Amino acid sequence: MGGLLMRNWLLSYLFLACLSFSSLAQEDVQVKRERVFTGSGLYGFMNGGAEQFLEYGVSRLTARDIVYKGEEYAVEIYEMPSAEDAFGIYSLHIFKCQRADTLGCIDCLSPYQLQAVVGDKYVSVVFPSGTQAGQRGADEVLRKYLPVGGENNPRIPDILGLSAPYSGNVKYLRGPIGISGVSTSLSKLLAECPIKAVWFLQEKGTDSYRALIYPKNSSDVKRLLDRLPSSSLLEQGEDFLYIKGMEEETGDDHGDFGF
Amino acid sequence: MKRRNFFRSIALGGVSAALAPMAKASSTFQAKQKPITNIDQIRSIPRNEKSMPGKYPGKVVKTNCPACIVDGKPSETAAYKMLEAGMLELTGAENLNAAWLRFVGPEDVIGLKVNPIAGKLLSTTHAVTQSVIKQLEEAGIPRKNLLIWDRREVDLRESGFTAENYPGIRIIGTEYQDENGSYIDPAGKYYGENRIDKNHRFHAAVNGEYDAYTMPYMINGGEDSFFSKICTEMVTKIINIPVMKNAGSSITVCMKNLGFGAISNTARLHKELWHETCAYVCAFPPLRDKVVLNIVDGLKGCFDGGPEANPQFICQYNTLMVGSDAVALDSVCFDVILAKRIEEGIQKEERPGSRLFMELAQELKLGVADREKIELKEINL
Repeated sequence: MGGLLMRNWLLSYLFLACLSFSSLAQEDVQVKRERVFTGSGLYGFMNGGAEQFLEYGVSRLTARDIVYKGEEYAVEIYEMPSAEDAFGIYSLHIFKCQRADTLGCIDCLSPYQLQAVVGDKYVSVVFPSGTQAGQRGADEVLRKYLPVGGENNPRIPDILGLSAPYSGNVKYLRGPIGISGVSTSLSKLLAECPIKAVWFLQEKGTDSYRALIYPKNSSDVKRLLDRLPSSSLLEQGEDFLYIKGMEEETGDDHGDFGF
Repeated sequence: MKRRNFFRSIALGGVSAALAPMAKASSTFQAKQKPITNIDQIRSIPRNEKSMPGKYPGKVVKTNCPACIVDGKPSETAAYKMLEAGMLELTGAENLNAAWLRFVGPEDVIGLKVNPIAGKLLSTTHAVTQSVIKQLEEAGIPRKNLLIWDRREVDLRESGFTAENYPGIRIIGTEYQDENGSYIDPAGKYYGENRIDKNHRFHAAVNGEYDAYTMPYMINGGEDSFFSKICTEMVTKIINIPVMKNAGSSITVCMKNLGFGAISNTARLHKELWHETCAYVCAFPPLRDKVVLNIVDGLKGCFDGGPEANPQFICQYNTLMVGSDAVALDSVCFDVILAKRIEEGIQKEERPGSRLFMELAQELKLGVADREKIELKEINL
């Protein structure tokens, strides 16, 4: 009986969760276009940036063009394998937040966009108008689609010694694409070394960084240790290396715009 | 092109095969050696009085207006005044109509080359475009003699360059679809082929090989890029209205908007010949002898993530620049964008090679790239 009640409760919860994610909250939201992309179908939505999302294991993207209180919004909800992965892709997309981590979840407001990590979802709400009304509405739009209580926020390792706000202070990387975009020096160090994840902290205003590296397996830990100058090692464990490094400038480029 | 738009276009076109959307560009030359182009054949084509850099070589007028964006929206009133001030300063004309008539006349068919690739967030603003049209009309240019153009009609439409917003003005892209959303006509030919001119080609020894997804947006593969008939046949003059955007540590403003916007088969050129294409394509007569004026829309712009619209990097430059010299304008824009990138901590200093396309253009006598030779006039409204 208890099991049946539990199952019914779970089904109801899932039903409500699905509703809240799609249609429930939207009486005052006019959806002009909605598209869903899964897996490599993400190529159908974005430029070369899709590879970066796939590196984090994105499973589904729901993209909606909506009108709310007279303002246009582009809402993108990316379903990721974990809250850490959602934070990872989020951490690569934010820049100098006007307001950070104030809504109960991990979030970043910029002049034309609100980005957030809500559990295992990365959310982008773009308001092309850039108006104050657009900004205010973006917060409301986010709340309409997802609960922002912060119950399932990503777990930031204690060893990093960080406290909130986390936005802009740490990045979570899952593979070579993310790493190469963040640090040329770290990218060279980790070349041909498979990793599970890296937590990356750039020291403000300097070229120094710290990186908490989780190689794929213990033999990779040893291999990486062999090529690492001993002065760079801050701490080591069975499955991780915590290092410091110095960034180097990259050469000329003109973006990845390919058409 | 934004892959987002690219695939959206595909979806509309009804193509369902899920092919890998990659363009392969294979150089026929060894690494480090630049692929050969036909630029040398172009150098010998005689110039005329309209050829770039036009009437005011090395002169740039930069009009700043902190109030040009009101609550996030570009103000048409402010844009009109900025353009008016810039045109009068550039030309020294006694009135605005006379200023415009230095560049165009009622007999001209004028193509306004906008930049709509970054969607509503970061395309040429309607405030600036409408101001240009208004001032042209006031100067006696009939509306029917104006057209707004770019490579892709779908980008124009999605950025709001529609008949509804611009009644009486033709809006046209080199690549286009039929009413059913198909890029291919009943005979199996890309519609875009009707709008490329095979008598005008930029040859570069980099082979464009494209899959079925990409081809409608390239129109043709191989080692030739053909000029759009919009440039070669449909217009007599071009007014270039780009947006102030970075492209990595370089920029995409005047010459990139023209160079990559006027030809087919471009994807192959990004990797090895990006700088060369920006400069060389502008040296071909369809652009060199028709682009009479550049109006840089810097009301909004970006300092990173360009040429696409990455919202976190969009900023308000609050400026509008005018000049006949696209190279000088790019040089000034480069400095503004570089300063912003340094201020924002994106890079510490200018990176070697990032001004290459301007230097190439100067060598081709398309304009002035040297900072010390540029006459920059600033107006603050």
